[in-house]
Order: sequence, then structure tokens, then C-alpha cells
Amino acid sequence: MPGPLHAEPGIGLPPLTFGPVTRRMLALFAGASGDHNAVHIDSDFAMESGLEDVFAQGMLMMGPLTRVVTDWAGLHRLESISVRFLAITPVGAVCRCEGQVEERFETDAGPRLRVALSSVIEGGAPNLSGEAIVRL
Amino acid sequence: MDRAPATPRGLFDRSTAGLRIKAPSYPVERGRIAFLCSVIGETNAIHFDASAARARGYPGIVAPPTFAQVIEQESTRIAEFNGERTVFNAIRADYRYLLHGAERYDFAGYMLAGDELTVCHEVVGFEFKKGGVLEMAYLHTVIESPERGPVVEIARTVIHRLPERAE
Repeated sequence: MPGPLHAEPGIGLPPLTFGPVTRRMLALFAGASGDHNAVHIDSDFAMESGLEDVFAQGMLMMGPLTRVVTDWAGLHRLESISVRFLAITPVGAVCRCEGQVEERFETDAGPRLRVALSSVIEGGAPNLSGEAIVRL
Repeated sequence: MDRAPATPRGLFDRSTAGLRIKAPSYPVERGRIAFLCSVIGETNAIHFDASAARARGYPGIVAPPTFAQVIEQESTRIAEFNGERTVFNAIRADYRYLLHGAERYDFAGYMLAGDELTVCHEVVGFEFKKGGVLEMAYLHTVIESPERGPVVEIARTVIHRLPERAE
């Protein structure tokens, strides 16, 4: 596994697995993140809103996906990161978080890597896709 | 009687497009950084131990990237506590129907334990998608250090999955 300085397009970053997502985790993340939206922590509220149950905060799932980049490149190299939330992440989900170097390119501020990111629920659908720009 | 296709009617207050709200500043605490890290499985010592962080070239205990959300949320809570208008109240986000569509962070610096960071929101705009079933709101937030300037910009999309309308 080469570091970011010698990474070529196509190489995969070391993946990580996050989960299983528990109700306890959702409650703790509500407190830690400051997002107290009841739809993630109160199943009565979720059902009154027409949902079957509480589901994970998208930002809870962005945390581990971001770690795929920072564990590999270091926080100091992270210039930007963006994610799209593709599907609800249910209680019990185990997510496989992966990254792949897509492109090496030049900017006025120096060379950069574009890294594609994805989180996929085991036995299910992709729940996040994203992209990070890594400074070299 | 036949009805013309219904014009999508949203829940967001679209008159807030272009609105800017300066929110209260937020003090970054090492305990809160550790709490967030514990939930997302982050164990890197740069987030917990000042000497380990300095040994790796950081000025001190540094927050992980998604801590930007904590700053934005807690700043908003301080505003609510103070009876000030918040961006989510202003756009009339309805949490029964609210989903998070996308989140982007652009970093110009570090969020460090001990920082007191300022937060400024802008309502970028609104649109319908999927034939009016989804109502999108685009928000932009700038988090700055009074001493070091811009630290992180947040671009966020939140979505109402619109409820069935009783007609």
C-alpha cells in the first residue's frame, strides 16, 4: 500500500468496517454531534412521521468514511471532502467504507489526488458516495 | 372533475433565499472532540493528546473533519437559547420530513481545542426534484477563527420528502 505521495490512479485505500449500528450509537451520536433530530433517536416520533423506525444520522456514517482518507493520507493533507447520502442507514447496518485514487492533478497550489469514496451496507445498498481532495 | 397536475407546494420558506445569519461563536473543547471521536471510531492520538498532536506537526489537539457539524449545530443551539433566529427555523425545516442530502467541507485550516470559532450561515436556494416529491434546500456556512481567518466552509443539502397532501 503506497502512501499518498506515490499513489497512482486505481489504487485502493485500506478499507474499514463500521457497525453494526445500534440505537445506543444513535443516541450517543445525537449528543456528540449536537443534532438532536428526534427521527434518529425516538422511534415513536419516527413512526408518527411515517417511518418504520429510527435510522442512523447521515453524519454518523460520514465520520468513518472520512477516516478512510485521513487514516491513509493524514488529516493535514485533507483539502476537501464531500458526500451524498444515497439511502437511509437502518439500525443493525454494518457498513464497508472504501476509497480509491481516481486522479492525480495539478493546481496552482500544488499537486492533488482525487479520491472516490463509497460506503455500502453489507448485504444491501450503497448508503454514501463521496469524494475527497488530498494535498500532496 | 379533472384536475390540472398539482403545482408542487413545498414546506421551506423560499423567501429566505439569500438570507445571511451570523450565528453565535462556539468554543471548541477537547472533551467534545473526544466524545465525537469515540462514537465514530476515531482513535488517532492527534485528537486526544496535545503532545502527540504537536509531535506530528499540529499546533495542538485538532478536531476530526466532521467536527465542523458540531460547531454549526451547537452554535445554532446557542442562538436558539438566546431567542435568536436560526437558519433551520428561518427556512422552516420540518424535522418530520427532513433528510440530509449532501455535505461538503472545504478546509482552510484546523479546528483546534481552545478555539472560539465564528459561524455565518447563508441560505443559497431551493428547488424541487423527482417531480416535486423532494424539496431541496441548499445551505452554506463559513466557520472562521478571529485570529487565523477561515477554517472550514460547509455546503449542505437538506431535503423534505414531501408528505401526501390531503386535497
